[in-house]
Amino acid sequence: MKKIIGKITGFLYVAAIVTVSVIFTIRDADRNIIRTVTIEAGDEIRIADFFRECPKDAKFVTPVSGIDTSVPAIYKLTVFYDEAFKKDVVLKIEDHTGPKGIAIPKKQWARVKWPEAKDCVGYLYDLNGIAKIEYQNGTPDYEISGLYMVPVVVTDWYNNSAVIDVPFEVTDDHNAPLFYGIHDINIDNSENAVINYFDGVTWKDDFDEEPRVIVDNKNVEIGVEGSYLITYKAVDAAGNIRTQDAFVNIKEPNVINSVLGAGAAWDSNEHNEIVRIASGVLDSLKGSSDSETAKNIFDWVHSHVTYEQIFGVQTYEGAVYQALTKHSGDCYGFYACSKFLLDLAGIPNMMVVRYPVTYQGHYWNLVKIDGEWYHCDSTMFMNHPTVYFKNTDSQIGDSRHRFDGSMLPVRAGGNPEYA
Amino acid sequence: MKKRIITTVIGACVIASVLAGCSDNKGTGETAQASLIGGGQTQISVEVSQSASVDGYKFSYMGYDIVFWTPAAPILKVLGEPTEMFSDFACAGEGMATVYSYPEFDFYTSGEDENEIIDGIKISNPLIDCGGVHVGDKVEVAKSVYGDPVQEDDFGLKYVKGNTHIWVITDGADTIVEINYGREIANGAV
Repeated sequence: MKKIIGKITGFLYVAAIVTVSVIFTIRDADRNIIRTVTIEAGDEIRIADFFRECPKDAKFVTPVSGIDTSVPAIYKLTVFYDEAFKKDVVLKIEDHTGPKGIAIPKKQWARVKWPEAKDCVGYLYDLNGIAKIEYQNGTPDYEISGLYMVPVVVTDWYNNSAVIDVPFEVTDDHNAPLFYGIHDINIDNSENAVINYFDGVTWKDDFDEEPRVIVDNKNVEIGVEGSYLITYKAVDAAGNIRTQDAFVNIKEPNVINSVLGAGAAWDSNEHNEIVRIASGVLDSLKGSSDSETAKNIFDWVHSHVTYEQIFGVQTYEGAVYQALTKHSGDCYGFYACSKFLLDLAGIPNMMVVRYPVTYQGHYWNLVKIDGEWYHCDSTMFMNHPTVYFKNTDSQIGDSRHRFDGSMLPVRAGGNPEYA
Repeated sequence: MKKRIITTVIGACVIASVLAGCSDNKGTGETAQASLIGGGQTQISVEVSQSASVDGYKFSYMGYDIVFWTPAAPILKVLGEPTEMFSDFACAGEGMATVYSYPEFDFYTSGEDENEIIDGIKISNPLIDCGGVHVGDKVEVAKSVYGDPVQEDDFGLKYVKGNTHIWVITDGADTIVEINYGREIANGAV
């Protein structure tokens, strides 16, 4: 009996030793493994990283070759080691590396808009792409000439930044080029006369060695006596412009000047020229009736003249000429151009004047169509972009068109007592 | 009997250790796939600054874009002191109309204070580049750059884009004497 107990005890003792050995082996194996490993994006996945002392037979059970380590992510993997153990581990891929790049030196005129920050750096590289490029201290605003280092921050999509100092050479140039030797030019009225506008004329700029220079001589009529204004213009690289006037005087040699009579306004060259131009326009506007012609006239003026506030006094024909040849004018120009065309077309019309005048005067046309008088206004209004045509008193009765009806003939749909 | 007992005890110990020490993986033993369990880092969000959407012509000067219908104050600050300035109530009822004259061009606005907006620009200086066209060029240059006009007569070409226009004014022949940018009021504000 004692022998049996002794043997059983021995067996249990051995079993206990074996068990304890196994348990310790398992514990050591467990302590050797690193459950969570973090690698930098772009790095290689290495089995050794998951162990404190990498067993020789350690390997990944899950395939890792398909994992793109350039993209931050978290993966669960399985490893096998020590001939018996298979454990789950976690792989974290994180991007903590900032972008790389170089500065692109810049030359900057103080007056000119500063370049975008992205145009100041180049050869940028980041594994996960660039999210933003910006001036570290906001867009610079240096007004004084000098060399400045401007920090530009480049940030990737995981908020890793790099600061790149960009050298800026700032030039504060507010001085336009200067002219030397500009003078009036006197020539005779020969049609073959040639003018050398730059004879005796030079120019110089403080920074730009070759500023751009031209002569505005569009008014000069070779062969025609007169005194013509010309303008020398120079611009430097910073955009500073200098202008200087002179005159080209064309005279008949040894001829005594005589004064010609002024002539009647209606027979003046200016009037005749306007008639010529307007007649050409009217040819394309004539319709089968006065109503249709008038509609075409107001539509044409409305769409061919741009509103431009005129400062100062403008004559009737001056307003018509500007509307026809410069396609611009204020409300008086719209009225005048419409009137001139209506007169040429033989359609009766007259002026209507805003009354009372609260902030500024206004003019439009009263036109006789189909035997009745109607309001028509070709002026382009901000809040009424369509033309007013063949309107009764009530139809045109908005805040822009208040008038004294007692000064006008009876209008279509109008009250003869209207005031 | 003794041998059976011994063998059973040792075998139980071995089996227990194997079962205890083996994988966390309760699977069948097949090769497991790497499973993505999270995105990890979060990306930053970047505000994309919306530059003023320009559905029309704009005039570029000194690197700045002059956009019609927009507030005039920033551009007036850039342009600096004008050589002349006139201001008066517009008879078309849009409040104040102002023209600022510079050596480069005339700059027109409508409205006052914070409501002053860019109305137009008139260029008669041949040095100023209007998108490849200059005063003094022949009208064919304008057509080659701007394309076919919506209106054409002896004294000009009109181009419309969105709520803006360009008038190329000629001398009645074929030479450009003015280039005018402006709001196309018929097409309204943005």
